[in-house]
Amino acid sequence: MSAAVKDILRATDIGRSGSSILNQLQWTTAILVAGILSLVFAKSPCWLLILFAVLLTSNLGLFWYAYIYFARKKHEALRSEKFEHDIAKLEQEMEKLQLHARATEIERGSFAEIADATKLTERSKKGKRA
Amino acid sequence: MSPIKPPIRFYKEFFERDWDALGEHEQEALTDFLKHLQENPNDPQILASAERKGSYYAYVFRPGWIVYWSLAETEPASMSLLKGSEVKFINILDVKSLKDL
Repeated sequence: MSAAVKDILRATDIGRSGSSILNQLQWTTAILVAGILSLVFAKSPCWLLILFAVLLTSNLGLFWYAYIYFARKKHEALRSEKFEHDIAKLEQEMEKLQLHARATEIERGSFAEIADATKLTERSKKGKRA
Repeated sequence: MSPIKPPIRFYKEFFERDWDALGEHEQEALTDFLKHLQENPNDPQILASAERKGSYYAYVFRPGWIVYWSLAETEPASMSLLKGSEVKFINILDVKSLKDL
């Protein structure tokens, strides 16, 4: 793959962020555009160029239809695997931070202490009676 | 096994908010788990089934419910390194439903 094509793919972010539901359509668009450019350079017959242009237009139409459909009906399907991974990682970090904050609070003396876990049953009975 | 049971320290909102929000079965399951944990905080069986998150542990004490805790341990005395550290406190850091995660 030439450096120029690699740069274009990098700029469009295709294939870098893991698959979202529209990834296949993005790849098809990239392949069809590359195909049209190759046909122009190779001075191919006009009907072949028209065929690729029709395919590209249909693909773009389908892409936008799917994009709008999923944006309205199921927007989480548009998220990439990388995004989902990043969100999960962020949630894990937040959970750790919350636990750390609680541990610090306890170390600073803000806690309720019981000497025996069996006392918890008494607390629940008190709660039920109240 | 520790000869004396380490006290359990709960985060401030536990009795104010979370304990009463638990159902009867969840309260019983948590009590049973904490009794077991207090008997032997370093029980390999518990630690094997718990998930470790840094210096904290997470354990599903009832399907759909998770408890987070940490152990406050004493430093082993220099002359009794073989004896190892003892658990001074069990810190309960959070109790939540897996639905909230």
